[in-house]
Amino acid sequence: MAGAAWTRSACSLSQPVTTRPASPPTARPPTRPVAPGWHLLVLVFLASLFGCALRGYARGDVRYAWGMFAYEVHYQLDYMWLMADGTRVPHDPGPDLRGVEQRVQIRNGAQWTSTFYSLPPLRDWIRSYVDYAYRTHAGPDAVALEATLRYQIARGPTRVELIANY
Amino acid sequence: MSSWAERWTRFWFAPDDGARLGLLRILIGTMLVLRQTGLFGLQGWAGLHRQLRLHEFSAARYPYEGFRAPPLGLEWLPAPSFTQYQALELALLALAILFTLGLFTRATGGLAALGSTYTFLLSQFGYSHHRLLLLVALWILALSPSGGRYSLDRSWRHAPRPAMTVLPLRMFQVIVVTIYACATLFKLNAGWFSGQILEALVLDHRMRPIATRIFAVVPYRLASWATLLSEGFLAIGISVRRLRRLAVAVGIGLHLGIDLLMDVSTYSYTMIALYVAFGAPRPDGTETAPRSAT
Repeated sequence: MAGAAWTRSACSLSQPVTTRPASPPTARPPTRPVAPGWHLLVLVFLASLFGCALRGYARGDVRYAWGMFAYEVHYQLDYMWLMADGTRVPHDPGPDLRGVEQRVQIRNGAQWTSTFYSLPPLRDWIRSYVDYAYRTHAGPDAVALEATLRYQIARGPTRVELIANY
Repeated sequence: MSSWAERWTRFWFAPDDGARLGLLRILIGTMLVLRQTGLFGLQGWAGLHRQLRLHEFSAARYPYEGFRAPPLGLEWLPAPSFTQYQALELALLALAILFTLGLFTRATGGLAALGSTYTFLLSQFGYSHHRLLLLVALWILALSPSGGRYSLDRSWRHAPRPAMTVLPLRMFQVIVVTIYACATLFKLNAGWFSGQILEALVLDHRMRPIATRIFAVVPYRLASWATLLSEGFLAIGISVRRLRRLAVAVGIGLHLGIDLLMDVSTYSYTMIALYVAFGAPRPDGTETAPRSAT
């Protein structure tokens, strides 16, 4: 069935060709009528492609929007447990992020790292991890887990942002 | 049919002989083989003796231990164990080879696309532009009769050659133009105009060591504007027949330059391979109408 989507067998072969009757001998070969479903397929394809691009452009999120190296974010992260007695205890992700490190770096520490996927994905990744870490590692005295991001865009001024506080 | 509708239908569904689609299958299949074996990148070829390993198979690269972060709505997707992951990667390599050769093309292409989609969707961290591009290309080729030309299905199994349309080629063309247009639009910012982003990429060690030597001679701003103008020109030039040869030359230069400076996996080669989709549609040889370039 899938093959029919791309072949002229999907066209109605019994119907007359649709090129102008007075086509000169050098004209393009005739294109036969195509079932409406294939036109719809093309429209869905175009809507997906352009929809993802517009969404990404509006959000500044390059994922699925083909924004190549549009932003270079240089950053450093701190994870901190807020305890019931008001103290703050650093959180070390340990082996949690072992697989993730092959793709992106959201480990805490003094060392700065970078991503060219822009800020919105970075915030998404960190929030996802804080959510996971709080559900998985929160001790009985822990009230919240904070993630603080220090970042520079293209080595511009340093900004500090509290990304998550669960 | 109105003239507009006729032009739309002709643009998407004109007959084609399938030669370029067959060639694209071989090239994209080869990209998948390169990805599965880690044999990509100009620097990678230089270290061929070290690269002959299945890079994805090592335990350190098994990405689904601990925090996995599945995309929203896909939390139900089960993650494979390390053994299952190894088997899947091996199976994908075997499927990629068969698909490239064009043996049981529809089945091997479909299974390779399914397996690649599964590993892509397991985690948000699986996203990269080159993976997405390869995946989309694989699906288009798997669902189209891309085994109709230059395939073992044709030469060994004597499978009949289906009558084909330009639809899959048009899809590739639209994807390539969209990629260049988006790459340009996203770069229209102060960091690219001033060259600061290129400089930051070097300072952040996102580029290979050779970049330091190159940018000691070439100003960042000049390289930045050259990239912007090249991508902007490609978005238009690749679609215009009179500019196409120049656009292809610019594109090949741009992508080889990127590959020399950065580790972008198979991305550069995939983009160059997709240029095959451009050019005048060729009618199917079985058409009774005279063959002519449009």
